[in-house]
Amino acid sequence: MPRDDFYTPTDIDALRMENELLAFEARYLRGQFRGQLSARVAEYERSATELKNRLEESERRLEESERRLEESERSAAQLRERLAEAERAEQDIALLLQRLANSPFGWFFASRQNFRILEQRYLGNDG
Amino acid sequence: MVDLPARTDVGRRPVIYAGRFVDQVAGADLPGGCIVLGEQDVPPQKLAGVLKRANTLVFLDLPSFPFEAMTDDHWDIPIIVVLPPGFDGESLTADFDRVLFERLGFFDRVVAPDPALWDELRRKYRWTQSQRVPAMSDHPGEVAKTVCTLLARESTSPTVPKAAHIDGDPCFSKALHHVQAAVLEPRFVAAREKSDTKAPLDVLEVGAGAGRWVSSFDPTKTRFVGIEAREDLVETARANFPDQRFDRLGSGLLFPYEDESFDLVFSVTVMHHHPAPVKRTLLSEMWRVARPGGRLLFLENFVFMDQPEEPAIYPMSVTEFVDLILDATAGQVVLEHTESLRYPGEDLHTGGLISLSRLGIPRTQ
Repeated sequence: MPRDDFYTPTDIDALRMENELLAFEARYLRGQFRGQLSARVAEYERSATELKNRLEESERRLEESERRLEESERSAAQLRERLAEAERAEQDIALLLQRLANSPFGWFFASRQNFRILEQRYLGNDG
Repeated sequence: MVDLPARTDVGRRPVIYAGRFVDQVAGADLPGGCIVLGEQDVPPQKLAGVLKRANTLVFLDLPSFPFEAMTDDHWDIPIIVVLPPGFDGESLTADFDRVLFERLGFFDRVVAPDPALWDELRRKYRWTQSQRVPAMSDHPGEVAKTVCTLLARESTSPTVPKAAHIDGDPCFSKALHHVQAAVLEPRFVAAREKSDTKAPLDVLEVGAGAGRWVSSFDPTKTRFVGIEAREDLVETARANFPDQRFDRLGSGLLFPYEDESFDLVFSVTVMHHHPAPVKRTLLSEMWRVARPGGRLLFLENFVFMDQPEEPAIYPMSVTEFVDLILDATAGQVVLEHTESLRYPGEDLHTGGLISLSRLGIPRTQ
């Protein structure tokens, strides 16, 4: 098509020119879409990495918590055992104090202040 | 509804909404061809039917018109508003600001007997001087007669200048303007937003005509300059917008402006009227006066059909135009936006908007 001459376009020319116009717009939009897409992908990748890091951190903290929980449970079991032992020792002491108090030498032990303190502590006797 | 007999067969006719004054208007000796509507004639369905045949819509009785019945298509019809007597600017603005006045543009007119009121509203709504239709009387019949006589003269006599020097069918021109405005005005806003300074935006329109794009810019935030080859259009533009600058483009096609003077330089359907060497010179000048980082905006026709009645045109496809831009600017531009336009009643997309940013380092701060 001549650039400078007066010229009457035909329908074919009009269609070709419209095609060029729409193709130009499509090229621009595709380029813009590609740019937006790359930016979105980069953003998603950044978000995914951040999420992955957070997930790993959470898993690590969960493992730590589980480990601490196990330790706590173990400690609790040990404490329960110790408590049972202490209760048994208390019962033995109470029995021993009763036997001593009721023995022929009970008057002797009763005259001792330390014995009376032990009786008060383990047998609940006031005097 | 009063259907006055037409003197000429023009297909579409002026529609006058006379409202409460329908009897007074029907009694006046109006030129034929006008359709006069009363208050009973404007239920939405009926109004839509009448407006299909309208080439101008005249609001003679403004307060009683049901504006909510107007569709977007109806607003493409050129409108003539008759300001009702007894209202001041404040009360008119309170009643008709958004519903009507803000919608009036370059292709509409206002019958304003009071010059002071006209001036107040013109400044507020950025109307042009040529949009005013002076009227001698407040009487509805007389006003209707004045308007109808004006429209009849415009439609029958090619020597009578139409409002604002509109070429061709004003109905189509207004619809076309709306399509163009829908793509151009967001670009104007983008140019304003890109300019981060508080200084006014310096805008140059190449081929400004009678200044139909001036109203798209806020005069408090813009310094608008138009350049135009036709002396008569320059004079009309100056009369339309006395506060703006309009210059005549000489035969040398060199713009009388310093380098890097404008933030936005644009043209609307100008380039296809010129052969390639002239286009190249204009593009080169537009690039020269644009500031680095400023915008170059082109809304042009890139598709041409067989229209023997058209004046001399120099068809150029978008690819050829882009090549010419790259050649004229040595590639110192970046494409920022483009979109195609299909005008009302056309099968093909014929228009295209190209927004470019000028590259370069500013010479001065």
